[in-house]
Amino acid sequence: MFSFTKEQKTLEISGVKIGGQPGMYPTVLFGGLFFKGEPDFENAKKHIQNMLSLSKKTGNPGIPDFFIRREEHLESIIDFIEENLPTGYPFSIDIIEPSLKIIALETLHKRKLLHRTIYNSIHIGVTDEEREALQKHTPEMAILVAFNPKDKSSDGKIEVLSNGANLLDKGLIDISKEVGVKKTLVDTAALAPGENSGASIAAIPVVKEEYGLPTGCAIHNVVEKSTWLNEFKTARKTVDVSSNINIPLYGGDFAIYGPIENTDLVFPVIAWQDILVSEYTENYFGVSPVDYHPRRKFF
Amino acid sequence: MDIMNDNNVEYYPWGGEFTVCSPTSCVAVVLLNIDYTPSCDKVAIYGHLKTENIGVEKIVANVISNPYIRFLIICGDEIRGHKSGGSLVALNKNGIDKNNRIRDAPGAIPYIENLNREAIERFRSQIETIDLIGIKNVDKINKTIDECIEKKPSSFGKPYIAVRITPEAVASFKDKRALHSKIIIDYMGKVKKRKG
Amino acid sequence: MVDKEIPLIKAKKTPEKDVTLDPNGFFVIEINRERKQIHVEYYSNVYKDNRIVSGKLEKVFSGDKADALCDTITKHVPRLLPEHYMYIGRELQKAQYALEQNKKYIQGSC
Repeated sequence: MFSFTKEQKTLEISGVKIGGQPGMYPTVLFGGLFFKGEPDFENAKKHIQNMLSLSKKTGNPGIPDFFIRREEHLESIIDFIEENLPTGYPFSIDIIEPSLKIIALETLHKRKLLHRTIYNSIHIGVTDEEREALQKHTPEMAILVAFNPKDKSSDGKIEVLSNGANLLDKGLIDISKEVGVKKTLVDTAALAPGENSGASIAAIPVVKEEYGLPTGCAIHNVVEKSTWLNEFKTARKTVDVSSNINIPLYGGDFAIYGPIENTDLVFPVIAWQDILVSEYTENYFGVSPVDYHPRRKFF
Repeated sequence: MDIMNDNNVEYYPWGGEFTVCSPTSCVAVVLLNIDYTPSCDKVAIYGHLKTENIGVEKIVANVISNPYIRFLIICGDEIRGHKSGGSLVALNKNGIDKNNRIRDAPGAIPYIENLNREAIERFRSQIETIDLIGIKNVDKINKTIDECIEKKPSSFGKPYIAVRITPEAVASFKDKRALHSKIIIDYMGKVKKRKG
Repeated sequence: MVDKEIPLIKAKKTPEKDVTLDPNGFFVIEINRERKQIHVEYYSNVYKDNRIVSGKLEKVFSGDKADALCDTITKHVPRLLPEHYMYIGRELQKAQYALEQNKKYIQGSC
């Protein structure tokens, strides 16, 4: 329900638009795959088809987020991407191990996929080798995760973005410029309950006003780690799916909603929230939504 | 500090350094100067006692919160000067006088200032103290614990909460900043950078 | 030629018999290992015949870092003697280390 004084950037990757003033573009939704065990390509294909069809229906862009745990999965996952996503469609790769990140960048470069790649992510643990690799094999877009282990408040997140918070030589924003990534999204780092999880939402308007960059987070992580929900087994999925509404409500542009299995619920929930926000922003701020926004489709 | 049983009741609401074991056991053990750990599946709670005023009050408040506890075994060498063990036994036997002093307590300053008379009477009715002051023999103490358990006393009824420590919910209306120090949000939702 | 002379003062602990108890109360510091927290109880003095015999529990503070506890206690308990604030500071630091290193904490005397 906010409008920002600072000019807001709208970034585009392979036709998917993300960013801008709240109410303009529908929230972009990242659904994750291959979190555990061996990649199940059969099911993955079905889920991605499902996500694409829901995305067409509601208007919210859906981007598959491929979690790559081991080197031996890398080639097969990239094969899968080439064969099963629509031509030119964007995707994100989510890797923890720094050396694997480098190999992935090299491979994506070789296979000419970098122009569709969203790199998840550049964060406080970025190594010098990784920075070199990013410079040589630059992805089209990268997600900067504003995690500050010393200060989990919104202030800490701004610190790590602007100046590295005494943990890195530069802020994450400068690092992304240094390695040549032209399009960056900011993830406000939602981690776990008890770790100032509210700050990941409250930081969204702060980051957008400070930098004008598309901002969002993976609030699903906090739900995932809320072990007390085990006492409410039937409610867990509802809490997980609906936790994402906090993001568009606070002016955010994208949500990393966790398992792609939740797609059937997440898309309508977020479309509904986007409509709510758009009704307000158009009415008060005069910000009207694009033609594929859920508000144009449902009323 | 507080333990929930399946009826969602809080036990042991006041602090102190103690270990919580079986919630339905009828025995609690107070350790004076002694290096001994009771068996956790036999006792409800155990811990060391230091002072004859606040130390004693904490034990009273904590044991009356669990109606299953009926016996309080006090063991180990008496604390010099404080004579807390003797004071605790005296409280159970005699109660307090009009100055809040434990009647006939051997301790230096055995004053009960945080519990009202009702709580003390509850302590005296619910609990039977077993005086093993001066005893450090582990076998004797264990035997006493078993003897108490054998008696299979019934629960005293409902928990009595004399002191409850509740988290503070504070709203400071002096801080007029909405959401964050770097931004101002007007009452309709327009966000601006905050100057200064 | 000396521009300035600054006195070097040797540290000396005030003997216990000379320590003035704070008229505004006293603190009991304990470690709750289950919750991994330090609990600080603040009592106001109870006098009988002009001497302090016990205390009324006024507030309880909890935290796991000495600095956070110090700042909060200072805010909530103003008007303590300066020596008392110093005492609480050093005891809380001891308690923090004891909690972190899983060692026993025994509250020191003033």
